[in-house]
Amino acid sequence: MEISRPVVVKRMPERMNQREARNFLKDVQPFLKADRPQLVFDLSQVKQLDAAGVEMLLHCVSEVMKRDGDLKLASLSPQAAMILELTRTGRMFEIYETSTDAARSFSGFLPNAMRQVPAYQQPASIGERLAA
Amino acid sequence: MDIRAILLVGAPEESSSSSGINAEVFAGCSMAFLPLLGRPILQRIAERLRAAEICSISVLNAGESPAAWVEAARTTDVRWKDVPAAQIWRAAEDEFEHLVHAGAELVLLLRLGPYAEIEFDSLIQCHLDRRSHVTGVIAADGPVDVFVLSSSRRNDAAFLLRNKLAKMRVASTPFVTSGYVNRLSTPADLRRLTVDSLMQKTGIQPVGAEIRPGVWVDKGARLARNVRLVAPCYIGASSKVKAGALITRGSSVEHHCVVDCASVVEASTLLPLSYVGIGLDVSHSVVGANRIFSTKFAAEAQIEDPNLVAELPSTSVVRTLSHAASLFAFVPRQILQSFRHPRLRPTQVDPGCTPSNEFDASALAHPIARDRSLSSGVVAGVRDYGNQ
Repeated sequence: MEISRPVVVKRMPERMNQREARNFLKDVQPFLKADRPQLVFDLSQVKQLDAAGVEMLLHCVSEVMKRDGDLKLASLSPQAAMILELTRTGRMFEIYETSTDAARSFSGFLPNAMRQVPAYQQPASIGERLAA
Repeated sequence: MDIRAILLVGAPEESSSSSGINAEVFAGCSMAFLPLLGRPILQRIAERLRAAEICSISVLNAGESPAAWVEAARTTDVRWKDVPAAQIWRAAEDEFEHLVHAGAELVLLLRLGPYAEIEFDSLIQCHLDRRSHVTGVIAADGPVDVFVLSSSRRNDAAFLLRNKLAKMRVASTPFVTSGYVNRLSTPADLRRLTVDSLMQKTGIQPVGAEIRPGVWVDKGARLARNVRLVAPCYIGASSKVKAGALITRGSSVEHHCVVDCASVVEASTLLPLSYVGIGLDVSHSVVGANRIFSTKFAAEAQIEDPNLVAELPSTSVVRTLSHAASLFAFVPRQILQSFRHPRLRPTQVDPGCTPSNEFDASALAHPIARDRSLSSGVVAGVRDYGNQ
């Protein structure tokens, strides 16, 4: 039986330079070491992100993947999105509009085809539509 | 006929001054001073005026633009005045008076601002035919802040300038231009002007030689052997594009820029003296003065990390010294780094154990990151552009 694991949402600071990246890494280190960690980084407040910050994100995703977990990014500020695109690292993360969406995505991993859809929500067949 | 021109740079547009938005500026520099395909926009406009036989040009600069860019835009054949921003309109009135005393019959007033390819001959003819005091110019999307003033109509000129070009004392029929107009309100407009010029939709011709159809390279530019230039694009004077770089989709690399190895510049403008670091992907952006504006995200960001984007020294002596210093510092830095982060040795392989040739299905289940850590160096190697 699958037991739901906690999703940790962490907000990144406004400036993500070398010092801030080190402090942030210290904060999230216990979560990275957990079994199959599920992390969401909220980048809504990030105004400056430099190479050290990007390196830290890559380190985190690397650590998380080693433990069969996942790290997702949410609420990217335009500045953060620009730097992730500039450094070609954006494509390595799942990125969501909001932290809630990102957290919800951990449980909604099943493809749509396998989900239990109630009968009243199922799309009508072509024959039924034509009859209507 | 004696026709003279006054160019106002840094005078705020009436709508933006009332709303408090600082438009027509990038990185604290007025758009008119920014270079476009090898020459500042201000000089491009002055060239167009001279082509219409308006040879006496006065420039009133009220912006607080960086001195280096202002100096680059300044030429000896224009009368130049730096004035405080609050007094630009008063200074324009004084300049009008001065030109009238010097014998001007008509005075052309242009606020930069917008880049407009107006048919000056038709405009002047229209002004004379209608016997207007003041003739304004409008384009399909509104007025373009260009006026013709009769020298005998000092009160009309003073009224227009005191109302910041928003009102005329006596209403007159405007001249409708069908030429190319770009408002240059945001860096995105600058990008559009660059692309339109490269596509030859404007009268702006890139400076330098066209080495292939749609690819212009100015003198002194150094291109590594395996650099890819996809038309249309422009490489400015003394710029350096290093190995494996790709310049594509209407990009413009202005003078003295450096694009480092394996970087991609796509649909972007690099303003003079910009440095783009190794393995970066600059797309849909304007880069300059340690800032980057993304047209995609409509946002501007200051970059403090010199490994990503930096501004190179403006003088060649300082540039050479900084290159020499970085060269001398390279070896000690590498030695220091090897002490700090010793290189991992490859794991010892048991000589008795030979690799099996059988298919190992479990190997596919391993995530990539287990085998090699993801670093920016690895990311730089991930390329999906053509033959790169």
